[in-house]
Amino acid sequence: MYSQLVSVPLTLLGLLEREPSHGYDLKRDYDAFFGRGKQLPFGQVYATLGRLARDGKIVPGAVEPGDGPDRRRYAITEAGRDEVDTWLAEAVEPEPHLQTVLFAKVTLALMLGKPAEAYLDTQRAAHIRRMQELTEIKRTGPLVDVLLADHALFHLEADLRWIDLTSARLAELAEAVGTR
Amino acid sequence: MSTPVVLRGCLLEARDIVKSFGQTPALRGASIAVGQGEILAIMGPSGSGKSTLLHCLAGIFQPDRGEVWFDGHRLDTLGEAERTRLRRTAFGFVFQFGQLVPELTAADNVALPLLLNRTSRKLAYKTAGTWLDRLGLGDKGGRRTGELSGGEAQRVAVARALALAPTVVFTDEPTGSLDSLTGEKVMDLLTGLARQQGATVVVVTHDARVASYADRVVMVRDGRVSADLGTGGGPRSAAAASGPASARAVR
Amino acid sequence: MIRLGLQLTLHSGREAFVRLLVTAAAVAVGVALLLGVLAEFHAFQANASQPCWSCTQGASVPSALPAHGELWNDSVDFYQGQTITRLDVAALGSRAPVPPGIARLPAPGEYYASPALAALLRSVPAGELGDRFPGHLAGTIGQPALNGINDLVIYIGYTPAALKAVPGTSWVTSIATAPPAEVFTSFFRYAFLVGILAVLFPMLVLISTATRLAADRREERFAALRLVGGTPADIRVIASVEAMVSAFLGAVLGTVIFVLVRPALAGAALIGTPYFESDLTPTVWGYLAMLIGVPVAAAVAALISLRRVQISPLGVSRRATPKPPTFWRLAPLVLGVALFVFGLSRTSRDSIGAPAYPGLLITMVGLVIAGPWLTAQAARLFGRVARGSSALLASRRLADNPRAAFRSVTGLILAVFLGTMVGTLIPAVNATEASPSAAALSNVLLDQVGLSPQAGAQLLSGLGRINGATAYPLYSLYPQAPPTGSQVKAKPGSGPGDGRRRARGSAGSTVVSCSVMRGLAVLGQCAPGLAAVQADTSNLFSDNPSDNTKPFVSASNTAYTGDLAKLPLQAVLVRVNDPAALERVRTFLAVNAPPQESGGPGQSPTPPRTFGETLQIRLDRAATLEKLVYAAVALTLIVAGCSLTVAVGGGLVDRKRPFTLLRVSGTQVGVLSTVVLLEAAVPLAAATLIAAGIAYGTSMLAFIRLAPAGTAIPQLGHDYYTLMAIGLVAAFAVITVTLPLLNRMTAPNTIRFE
Repeated sequence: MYSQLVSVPLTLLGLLEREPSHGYDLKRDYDAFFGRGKQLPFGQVYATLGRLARDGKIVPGAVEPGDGPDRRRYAITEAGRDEVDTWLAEAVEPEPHLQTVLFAKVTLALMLGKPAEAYLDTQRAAHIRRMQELTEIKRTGPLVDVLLADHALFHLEADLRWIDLTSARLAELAEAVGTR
Repeated sequence: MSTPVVLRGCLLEARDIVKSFGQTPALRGASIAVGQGEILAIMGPSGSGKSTLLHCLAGIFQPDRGEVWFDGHRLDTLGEAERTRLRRTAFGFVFQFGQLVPELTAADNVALPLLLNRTSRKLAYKTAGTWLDRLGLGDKGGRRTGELSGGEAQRVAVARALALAPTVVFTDEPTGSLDSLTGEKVMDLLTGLARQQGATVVVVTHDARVASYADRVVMVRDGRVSADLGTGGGPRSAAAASGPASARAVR
Repeated sequence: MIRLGLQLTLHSGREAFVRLLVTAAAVAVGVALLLGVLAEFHAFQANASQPCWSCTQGASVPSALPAHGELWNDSVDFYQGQTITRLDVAALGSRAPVPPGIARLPAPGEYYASPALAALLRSVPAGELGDRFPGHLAGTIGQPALNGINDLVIYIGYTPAALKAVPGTSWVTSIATAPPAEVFTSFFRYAFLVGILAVLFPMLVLISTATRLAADRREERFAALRLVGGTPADIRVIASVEAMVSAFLGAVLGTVIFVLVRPALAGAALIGTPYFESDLTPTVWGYLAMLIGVPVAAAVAALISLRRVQISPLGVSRRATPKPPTFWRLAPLVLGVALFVFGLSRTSRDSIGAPAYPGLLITMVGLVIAGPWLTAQAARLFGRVARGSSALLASRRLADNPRAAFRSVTGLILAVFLGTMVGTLIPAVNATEASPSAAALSNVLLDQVGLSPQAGAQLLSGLGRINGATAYPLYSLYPQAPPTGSQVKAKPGSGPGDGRRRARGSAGSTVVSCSVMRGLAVLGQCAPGLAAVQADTSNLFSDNPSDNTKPFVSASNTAYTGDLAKLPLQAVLVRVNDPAALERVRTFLAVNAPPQESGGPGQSPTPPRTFGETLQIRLDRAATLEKLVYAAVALTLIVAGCSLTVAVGGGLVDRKRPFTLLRVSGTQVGVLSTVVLLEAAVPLAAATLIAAGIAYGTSMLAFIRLAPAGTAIPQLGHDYYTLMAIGLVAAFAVITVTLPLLNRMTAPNTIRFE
């Protein structure tokens, strides 16, 4: 499963799937949607792009006239597309505090016109399964485990509520990200 | 949305149920199958039709179209008297509130379904006492409903549902008006005792923590049943998710 | 605030509007009935306070006729079972007093007749009626002299000399204007009071019940009002307006119903003759009392029902079990009975002792107050005894809230109380069944003639010529022996208390031929071979149907061997085949054998009647009072039935939820119906026994004090039991009207909206 931390490479990859872009276009978009006040350093952007290119998920286009190494337009490859699809489709490990990841996934899915609803459902199922496991542990385990399980359950429940709310708001969200 | 696989040899089954109330469609082709001894949770937002599905499964409503099968026989085509009898002998009910008769004592309330089935008075009250004990209300049998707290009243309702040794227990938002701890106690008792009796339980809820007491969770959306959200996590799937699950828990 | 109240009342949606209509309908029934009772009472009062001109007592006629005043002879006659009041009058001087209803005294050879009698005279052959009255019709008698439209009254003018010769004439200088001292008037007044209470009290209960209809919903609404800043005073105003609107609507409706029904009521003749329609009105005061008093009463009831409920902005969240009713609830009942008994002890023949009225009222109130305690006791007993789930549910609910349970049947209990009270007050006339001998003699006329042998023979031959009549003569053993004893004049409408003794023959002073006895077989048979016997016929002239048909001849009677034709004719029995023949015979006897003897001035002899008519007079009196009973009990049962239905229906609305959930959990609808019925039956049974017992006791006491001596102690006849049983079962069966409603309201699929 994918990590629950916000993944910069995958996000950039997803942004690239829309259209081939320059580095600083990507940075600008990332900051606008996913930065949450913090700006992504240029260095990190280019380092990430370099890594992605090395892994064959993107290809750099021809250098265009202008100054600096950032005047290259990058484009996504078939492998890159597959990676984005897989990442979007697979559920994240159901641990608490994954709003940022889920949020990223949902937003990107909407941008890309992919079935965001289905992704949410999948996540919901994963959460429920985990909650079932935790409930079983509560039934049979020692008290310490019960306390921890309770804690986890509550947070998972909070996530589920967010998932429900977001499900209900998908139409609005789609409009918001469409007109960027 | 894919239609779930309909199991053969299951205990309670709804096939493509359509039910409308006036102009408002509540169910638009819902199908679900419940196995013997299973605990099933039906989740969904309000207005999704989940309560209506429960009512159809329990024979309270007759669907406009579709079939309901119980124990190998058609349920939806039975007459009102027959369905009433089933609700008295094979089905137990626990609702969110207001289900106990206010002027009766707790013991009276638990004994009532047995008395309605013409069990002898002595036996009915003896059974009632046993079940109240099991639910931790042994000393509250003589209290009137109005003197019980919410949690206690709900436990009396569970005792009443289980006292007649039902085949299926239907419950709709059983913890809706209770706080977390009380709600937990009630769900623990309900599912634990039901498993002991080998009864099947169908829970309708919007609360995920309640749903996670079930062996299987399905989602109802817009009058249809979507794919199972989770199978496993309960003891039935304990074999499948053993070591890694408990290891992950303590973190 | 009043405008807001009106708006809320009229525009609160369909359910509230239906409630309004139901209340109004129930009130309308009660108002119509109450107006009817008031109207009857008014008519009765009007009659009872009319001057009794026939009560005029004069002095004996001086041998030299005075020059002022008039000669006065009033008597009664019969036609087809109806009484004709007859006044023969002869003026002495120019300013003779004129009886009511006419402008001047009839001249000799003239008569004035009441409209009904005038019509009768026109339609019936003279030989059956008209020939009895000498003269011609000069005009009609007006309303002041009459009690009702069917009264038969005639004033006949005579010359003083002619009238002086008629037995029973007196000399009168002024005509009585006082109302008659009817022995039964105070009795009837009491009965009317009971009748008014019979409708009033249950109607108050009905109004109160209807006001409380679906109390839970009402409280929800009021709580919402409080939440947005309404004060308790505002709530009170709104509740009053609600109650008054529906009550006023009901009062108007009820008045309309009464006005439509009034003409029919006039013909119903609850007591004796039918009243004049102009008398049969509740008067302006009655109408005003309804149109103003009923809404006010409803408002008061609404306020009282609110008093015990604190409407907080949060409404009523959880109902705690109310405290059980205590033993002290019996106190007002005991007090009321004691007061009533005390009042009776201070009763004279003319007026009922003052404490008795409040005593009666407090007793009724006491019954209503004691009801919940009785219900609680009955519920406890019932719970111990009865098996089954319906019994469990019903007994617990009754024990839990006996007040609410009793409220539904309050009206019925009062109906039972009043019905028993009225049923006991009516003296039951036993032996009203005609014995076979009475039946055989029902068309046999008896007349005492007292004629000489020649006149007697003439009379017999004249009678023999009348078609359809067969005469059986009774001869007097002693020539010219006058019949002894006096005859008491009968007044119209008098009660069963006064006896009418006819002349009696002393023992064995009558002679009758055996062939006559063969024609009158039920009165006995001679020993074989005899032609005539001596007999004692005094029994024949008795008023009592069981006495006057006793045989007076048997094998032991002494034989008489003389010639019957030489004996004076004492009396004659005439068998008639049809009513026309009867009247012809009566007319013939009136003309050809007018009464010779009387008991003194002012006491005219009575005209001849058949045995059947004598019996009928006794039966009619009983029938009149019986009609009263039925009317009163029917009234209260109707109102009480409405009350019960309203209460049960409203209660169902309040218990919709728990009942529905019971149905969902598999309770059969029959169980719930049984519960509803039991919840009404148990309090009803318990309180009925107590109410009937107390009513019977108090009525017996009242009867013993009030009724004229000699009237038989009343028994509760099987009529009473039948009426009570039918009435209670019917009022109860009305609940079954609400049961389909129960079925529909609690249908499991209504659970959707929980």
